[in-house]
Amino acid sequence: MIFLFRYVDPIWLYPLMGIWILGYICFGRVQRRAIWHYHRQRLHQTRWQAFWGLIRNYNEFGKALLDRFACWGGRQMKITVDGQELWDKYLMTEQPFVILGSHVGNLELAGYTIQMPQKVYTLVYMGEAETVETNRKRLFDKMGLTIIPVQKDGGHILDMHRAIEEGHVVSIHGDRLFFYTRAMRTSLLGAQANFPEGCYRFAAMEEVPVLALYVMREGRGQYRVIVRQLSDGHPTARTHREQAHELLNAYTSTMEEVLQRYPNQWFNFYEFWS
Amino acid sequence: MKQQLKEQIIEALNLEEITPADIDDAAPLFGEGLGLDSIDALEIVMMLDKNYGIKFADKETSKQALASIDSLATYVAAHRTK
Repeated sequence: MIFLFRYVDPIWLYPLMGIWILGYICFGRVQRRAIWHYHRQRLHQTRWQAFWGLIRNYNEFGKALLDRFACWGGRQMKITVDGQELWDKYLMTEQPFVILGSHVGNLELAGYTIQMPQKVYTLVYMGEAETVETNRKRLFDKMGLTIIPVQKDGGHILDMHRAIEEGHVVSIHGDRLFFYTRAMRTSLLGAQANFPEGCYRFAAMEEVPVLALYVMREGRGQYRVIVRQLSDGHPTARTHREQAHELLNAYTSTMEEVLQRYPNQWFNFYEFWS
Repeated sequence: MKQQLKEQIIEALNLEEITPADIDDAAPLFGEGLGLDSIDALEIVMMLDKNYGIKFADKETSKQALASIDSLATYVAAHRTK
C-alpha cells in the first residue's frame, strides 16, 4: 500500500476514507463520545456544530494519516512556517534543545519533511503493527532521526539525557501518559486535564531551550509548521518541579492558540479531561 | 558517605517528608522502596555528575549503581573524580 502512494495522489483515496470514517463513527463508541465531548464541552458547540465537528475531526485525521502514508511512499508536502525567527535560530542551527509535540496536528510529518542539521532523537511508543513500525523506522533512518522506544523500566529517560548531553535534539509528546507513573494537572480549554510529569521535568532539568512544534494541515499537500518557544533554558533558582509546571502552562497556552485556529485537528481520541 | 548521599538525594528530589533515617541502606531506591521513578533517577544521575563528577558509561551500570544506597555509595567511592 505504501508503494501505491508513490504513484497515486492521496486525494484519490479520500472516498475510501469516507467508508473508514463511517465505520469509526458507527462502531468506535468510546472514541466518538470522547470527540463529541471535546466539541460540546470544551469548544462549547451546539449539537449540530458538534455533529459536523465530529465528522470533520475524523476527516482531518484520515487525511493526516493518508498524507503520512504518502510521505512514506516518497511524496513531499509543501511547508510554510509560522515562527520563522525561531525556526532559523534553533531548527536550522546545531545546538541541543527539546521539542514538545502533541497529538494536535501531524507532528510525525515534521520528521519526514524537515531536514535539520543536527541529529534528532524522537521518543516513540512502539506498539503499532510491525509493517507500520518497519516503514516508520526506515523513513526515520533516512531522515537522520533516531528512535528512542518508550521502555517500561523508564530507561528511555537516560537515553534522552545522553542525547542532549551529546548536543542533539530530543522530541517528545507532552500530552500522553504512557508508562510515566506521575501526572501533572493543569487547565486546558477551561477544564483540568492530566499531563505526563516526566517529559516536563526532563525538559526543565536539561537546561536547554524548549520549543513547542505543531504541524497543521492547511489543505491538499500543504502544511503549516508552528514553532513557539516555551523556555530559553537558562538556569533559574526555582525547583525542577516548579519549572516543569511553568513549561506545562506555557505549553497548554500554545495548544489553546493552535486549537482555536484548527479545532478539528485534535487527534486525542479518548476522554482527555476525565 | 551514605549519610551524605541520602541528604543529597532528599535535596535533589525535594523529598520534604523524608529524613535520611527513613532510607534503608539496603532497600531498593526505586519501585517498592522509596517509590522513585525514572525521572527521579535522572535527577540523581545529574546530582552525581555535579557533586562527584560521575558519568555512567551505560544504562545497565547506572541501574546497578542506583539499586540502593549501599550500591550507590560503593560506586561513588570507586568512580568519583571530584
